[in-house]
Amino acid sequence: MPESPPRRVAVTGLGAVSSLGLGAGAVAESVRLGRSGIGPIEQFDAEGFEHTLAGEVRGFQPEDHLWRIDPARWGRSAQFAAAAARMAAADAGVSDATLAGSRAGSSFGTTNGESQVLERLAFASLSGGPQELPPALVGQADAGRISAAVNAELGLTGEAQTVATACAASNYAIGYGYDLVRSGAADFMVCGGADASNRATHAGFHRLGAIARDVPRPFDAERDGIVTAEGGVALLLEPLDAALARGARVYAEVLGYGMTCDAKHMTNPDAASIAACIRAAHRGAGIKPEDVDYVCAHGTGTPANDRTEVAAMREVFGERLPPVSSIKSMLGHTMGAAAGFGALVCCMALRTGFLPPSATVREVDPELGEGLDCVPGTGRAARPRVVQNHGFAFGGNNAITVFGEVAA
Amino acid sequence: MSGQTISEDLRRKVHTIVADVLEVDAGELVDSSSFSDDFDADSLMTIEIIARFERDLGITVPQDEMVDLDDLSTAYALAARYAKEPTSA
Amino acid sequence: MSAAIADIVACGVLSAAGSGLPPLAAALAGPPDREEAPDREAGDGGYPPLRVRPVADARIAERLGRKGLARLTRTDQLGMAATAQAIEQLGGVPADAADRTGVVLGTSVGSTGRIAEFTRDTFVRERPYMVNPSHFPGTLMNSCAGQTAIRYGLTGVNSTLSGGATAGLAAVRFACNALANGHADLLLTGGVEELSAESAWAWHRTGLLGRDVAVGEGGAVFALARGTGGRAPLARLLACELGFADPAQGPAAVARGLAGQVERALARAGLTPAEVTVAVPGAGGPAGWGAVEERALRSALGLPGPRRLRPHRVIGETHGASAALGLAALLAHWSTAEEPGGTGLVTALSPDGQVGCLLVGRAEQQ
Repeated sequence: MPESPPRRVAVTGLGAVSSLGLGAGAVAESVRLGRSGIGPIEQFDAEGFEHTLAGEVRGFQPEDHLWRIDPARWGRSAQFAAAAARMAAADAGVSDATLAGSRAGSSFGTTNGESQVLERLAFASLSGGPQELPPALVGQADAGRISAAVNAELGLTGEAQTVATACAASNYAIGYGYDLVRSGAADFMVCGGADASNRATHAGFHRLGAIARDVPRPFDAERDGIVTAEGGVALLLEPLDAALARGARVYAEVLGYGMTCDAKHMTNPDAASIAACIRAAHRGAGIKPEDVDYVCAHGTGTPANDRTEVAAMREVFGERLPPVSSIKSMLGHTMGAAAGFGALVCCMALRTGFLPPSATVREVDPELGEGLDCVPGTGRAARPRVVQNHGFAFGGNNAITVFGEVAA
Repeated sequence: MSGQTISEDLRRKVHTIVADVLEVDAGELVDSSSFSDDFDADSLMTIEIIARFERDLGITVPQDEMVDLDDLSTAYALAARYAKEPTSA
Repeated sequence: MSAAIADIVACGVLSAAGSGLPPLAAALAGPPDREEAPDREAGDGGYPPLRVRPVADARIAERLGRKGLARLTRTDQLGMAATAQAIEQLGGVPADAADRTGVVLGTSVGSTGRIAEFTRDTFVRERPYMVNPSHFPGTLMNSCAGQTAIRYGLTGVNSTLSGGATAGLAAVRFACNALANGHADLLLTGGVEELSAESAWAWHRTGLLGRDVAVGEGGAVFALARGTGGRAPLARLLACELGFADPAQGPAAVARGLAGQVERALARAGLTPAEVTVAVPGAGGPAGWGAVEERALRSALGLPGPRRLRPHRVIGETHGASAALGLAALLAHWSTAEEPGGTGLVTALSPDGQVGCLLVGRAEQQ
C-alpha cells in the first residue's frame, strides 16, 4: 500500500490510565522514582486465591475523562482505551474537528478483551441460568469494542482495529499504526492497548505457578513470577513533518518494528525467535545493535521469561548489552496494555532524559550472566537516543518497536 | 525421595490421572516411561498432572517441586509426600 | 485498473455446508433452507430454542489427529482444519519459507465455549485457581493462530484481530498491510467462529438475530500473497477498506459510512459501480442491520445493482467468521458460475461501528 515515499512517523501525544496514575507525566514520574502500583485485588473477589495482589487502577471515574461516549455502555477495557486516547489527543493538541476531518483511525491491543464483561456473563449464567443473561451485557462482550470506543470517543472515521495478540498486542497495534502513517494510508493513528483486572486471567497464571509471592522482581535471583495488572495506554502517531509544521511537541520518532512467531509452544518463550524478532526490529528501524541505548524489557519476572529474554539479547548484542529494565516491576503485568506502557515510558525516557528502573530487584540473578545492567532501584539520568521496546506473548507472538530521539 | 510409601490405591489413582492427561492407554504407561520422550508431554501437561492431584485427590504439590516430573516414580513420590494423613473428619 | 493488493492462492473453508468450496457452492445454489433443522427444545444440549447450523463433515480428527484434540478449543480446531485445507492446496510450505509465512485470523472473542468453562471453574471449584492449566491458552483470542503456527511451523507474522462481523476484513487488512510493507510473503488469513451453547444463548437473549436465521459456525482461511509465484490465483484482492461510523449517530450514518468505504474501494481499484457483478452482504443475520447494509449498497452501487449472494441463509450467522465466509461464498459461487469474469464485493458492518468491504477480482479461467 505505500503510495508515496515513506514518511517519518512521530509520537506527539501520550495518554495513560494506570495503577501509577493518570497521564504520561504521572506514570513517568512514578517510574522514575521506582514507585509501585501494586496492592490488594479489588476488581474481583479474591477469596480463595493464595496470591491476592494486583496492579489495579484505583478510583477510576471514566466520566471524568470521556467527553462523548457514555461509560455505562462500554466495558472497563474500552473505558480505559477511550480515556487514554482522549488524554493522548489532548496532550498532542489535536482537536476533535481536526481528527474528524482527517484520515484518522485507531489500533489497540488486548489480551482478554472485555474480560470483566465475560466474567459477569459467566456468573449470571451460573446463578440464574443462561436464560437470564442480561442482553445489554452481551452487547458489550466483543473485544473489537476496545478500538471502537476510541473511535467513538474521538470521532475518528478511519479504521478501528483491535489486535488480540495477547501480551505483545500493543506493539502489534503501534507497528500497524506506524505502517499506515508511514505509507500515507492514514494521517493520524491512535495506538495502544487496554486490559482489565479479572478473575480468569488471575486464576490461569495462578494455576501455572506464575504469580509472585509479593511483588514481581524481574531480573532478581529470587524472582518468582508476575503480578496481574490492568490499564489503558495510548500514543498518537502522525507524520513527523506535519507535527513539526504545526509546532507540536514531538516525544519521539517511531523508527520501526519487527514481528516473529515462535511456532513451538503456546506458553514457553523461545530465545531464537525473540532474537529473530530483535533483528527484524533493527532491520525495520534501519539501526544496528550498537545503536541501541536502552531496552524496555518484556521482563515479566518469571524465571523462564527473563532467562530467555536475556539469552536472546545476548545472541544479538553479544557481550555488550545495553541497559535493560522492566517497568513491570512497578506496574505489574498489564497484559495487552503492557507493551503500550513500555512504549509510553520509552517516549518519556527519550524526551525527558532518563532510564526507567527495575525497581524491585535486590540481587541481580547471577545466572543471567555478566554485565547485565538492569537499572536497579530508581531511574537514572541519561540521554538515550535509540530505545527498543519488547512485547512477547502466549501463542508465541513477539513484537518489538524501536523509538528514536527527535532533536529539538 | 527416600522413605516414601504409597498405598496401592493412591498408586492406581496417580497412574490413572497421568495416563488420562497424557492421553495414553493405562497399559502403555509403565514405570520406565518418560512422559516427555515417550508421550510428548510438555510443561503445561506436567502442571495439569499436578493440578489434577490437587483437584481430584486433594493433594497439593508446591509449584517448584514439579520441575522434574517426567516419570511415574517421581509422580508416586510427589503424591505420597504431599498426601494428607488420613483423618477421621 | 490498479494492481491487486494481494492474490488469493489457496482457500480452505468449513461451514454448515461442509468442507471445502464445492459443498458451499452447492448449498448456495440450492434453496435456502434445504435441510431444515428442527428447532431445538430449550435445554436440549444446553442450547436455547434457536436453529443452529454446526459445521458438518469437517473430518477434524482425521485432519488433526485425535491426540491433543481435547485441549484444542472448537475455534482452534475449525481454524486449523481450514488452514490445513489451504496448505494442502499449496502443496505444503517449504521449510525455507516458514519464516516468511504466517497466520492472521479474525474472531469475535475467541472460543466462547472455552472461556465460559474456564471462568465457570473459577467460581465452582473448591479454590478459584483450580482451573485446567492446559485450557488456559485456549481462553486467549490468539490461541487459534498460535496453535496453527505450531502445527505447521510457521514463524512469520502471526496475528489475531477482533471486530465482530468485520473481524475477517480486519484480518485481511492487517495481512495486506504486512505483505505491502514487506513483513511477510505469504499469510494464511481469514476468520473463525465456533458455535457453543453460550454463543447461542447470547444471540437468543439479545434477540438480535433475524427471524429465519440460524446460529452457525465455521472458518475460512485464504493464502494471500503479492504475486502468485507461478500459481494461478483463485482471485485477486483489489481493495480492502475499513472505517468507522458511530452507531450513536443513527443507522443512516452507519449506512453512509459503509457506502463511503465501498466508494473508496472502487476508486482505489479504478472500477465503476456497474462493474461489480456480485455483492455479498455480511450483515444479513442480525435483524435491522441487513437493511442498513442494503441501504449502503444501493447508495454506492445504484439500483438494481449487482445480484446479492446471501451465505447466512445456508450457513447461518457466523459473526467473527462471517466476512471470511462471505469471501469463501464468493469464490464458491464463481467456481460454478457459467458467465466469465466479474468483480465481487464483500461488505461487513458491526453494531459497534466498524464498517468495511473487500473488492475481489475473479481470476481468468485457465
